[in-house]
Amino acid sequence: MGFLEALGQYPFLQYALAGGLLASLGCGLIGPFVVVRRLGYMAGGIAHSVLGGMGAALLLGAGPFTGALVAAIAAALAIGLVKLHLRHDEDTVIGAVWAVGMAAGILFISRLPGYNIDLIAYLFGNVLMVSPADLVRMASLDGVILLVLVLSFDRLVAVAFDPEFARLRGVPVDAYYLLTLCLVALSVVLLVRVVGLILVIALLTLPAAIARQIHVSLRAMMATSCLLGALFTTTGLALAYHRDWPAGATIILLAGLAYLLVVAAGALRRRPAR
Amino acid sequence: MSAAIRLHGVSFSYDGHRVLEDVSLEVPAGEFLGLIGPNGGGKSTLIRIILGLLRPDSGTVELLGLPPEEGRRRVGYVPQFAGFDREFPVSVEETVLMGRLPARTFGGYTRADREAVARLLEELALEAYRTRPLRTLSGGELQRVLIARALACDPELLILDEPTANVDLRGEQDIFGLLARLNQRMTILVVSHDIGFITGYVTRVACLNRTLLCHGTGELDRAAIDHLYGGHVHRIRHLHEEG
Repeated sequence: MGFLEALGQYPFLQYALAGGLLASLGCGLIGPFVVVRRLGYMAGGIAHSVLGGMGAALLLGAGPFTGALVAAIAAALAIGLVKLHLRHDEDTVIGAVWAVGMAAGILFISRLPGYNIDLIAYLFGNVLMVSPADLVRMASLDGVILLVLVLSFDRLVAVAFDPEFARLRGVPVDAYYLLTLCLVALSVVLLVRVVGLILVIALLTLPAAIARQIHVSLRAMMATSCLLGALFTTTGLALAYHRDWPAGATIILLAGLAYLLVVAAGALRRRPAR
Repeated sequence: MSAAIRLHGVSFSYDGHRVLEDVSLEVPAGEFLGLIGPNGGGKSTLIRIILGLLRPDSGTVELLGLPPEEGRRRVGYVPQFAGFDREFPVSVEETVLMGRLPARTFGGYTRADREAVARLLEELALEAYRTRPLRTLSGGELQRVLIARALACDPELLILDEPTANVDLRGEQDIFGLLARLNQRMTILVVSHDIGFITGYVTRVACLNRTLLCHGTGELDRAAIDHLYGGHVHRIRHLHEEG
């Protein structure tokens, strides 16, 4: 049976496709900020800390989504506040949040009765298990991200570009920096369901990095990143269905391959003619 | 009209290392002041104190008659080139619009902001560059864009940190010509390492090497050179006397 035919028949595939598209929207909007501000490592730290939140939530009887959301926001604020106020080395703080979050998650999950939680699904994602309730949550996160961007885009860009100048002009720079990190946290939570927390950074950065090779404005980068994300998740899902490959990994490999091709093409084009 | 900048007894140290010592300075409204001095002499630190980005260990700072955090809203600031990312995906128009910040909390720049920026681009002959990304500009063009951004808030005082550091000679003349024109409607403080060039344009020169000495133009005499470059110049003169 072909992918399209199966898509018409199996709701779980429809949910998976919808989940992939919803995640593409959020990460396409925030990915460009991550790339131009070089927040990739920070996004990785936030993503890995999510395991601690999901483990704690399961132990307390709450849903893993709530746990992931709380942990991601807490990690973003912790990293941001330490950077702003304690002048600690940012690298060290991110590394600590990264590893401590994972360690806490593994400890919490080991305390669960029966130890029957599918750890692999959290680490590498399982988009085929996306439920209608998940889709509603993901759409809400997209809605929040969109709303914040529509209202605050100019200030967010100004703070990303030249924070000192924005501060002189009376913009509360620290607050907008923390807001940027919280948006990154939301997009991380969106992606965890689709590609898993280990692979999040790739889908957050690769579409935006490709878009940066093409565009010279942040708005255009966002639009193209969204489309590229949708392209990778959709074709990745189809390929994974045909070949019986893990969907998250297939999506990431497609994105990585496309990035490699675009970078290579750019390097060839820029080489001076002899 | 009160002074644009008033510093009294300002001292500042980085990690126990004294960078500024008992600096007092009064810049009357309408002046074009050149601040010169060797690298590490404290020029950029003093600018950051005037703008309220650093707090002095002792002494007082007044900017347009207000504490620096309030006064700086009516100051146009042109930072050094090195400070920001030229690869950032932003156009000339978007960059100059940032001079209209803080913008609305919800909704960003207004139509009035965009119109003010359009007028400014016209005044500085930057219209043709409106949609160009920053990374395609030459040093002189980028410097004009940064000056336009500083002017976008209709400042009473313009502060420029090494505006000609990455600009060729022709661009340097253009920029100082522009500043001379702007000086007719605002006070200007320009930081430069280039003693020779700056004295042709400014009304007064302040020499900063941890402590501050002020001179009118044309008075940039031996006392000033000695203050800036110390024993080295002195030793050469001594040799001449012996020979």
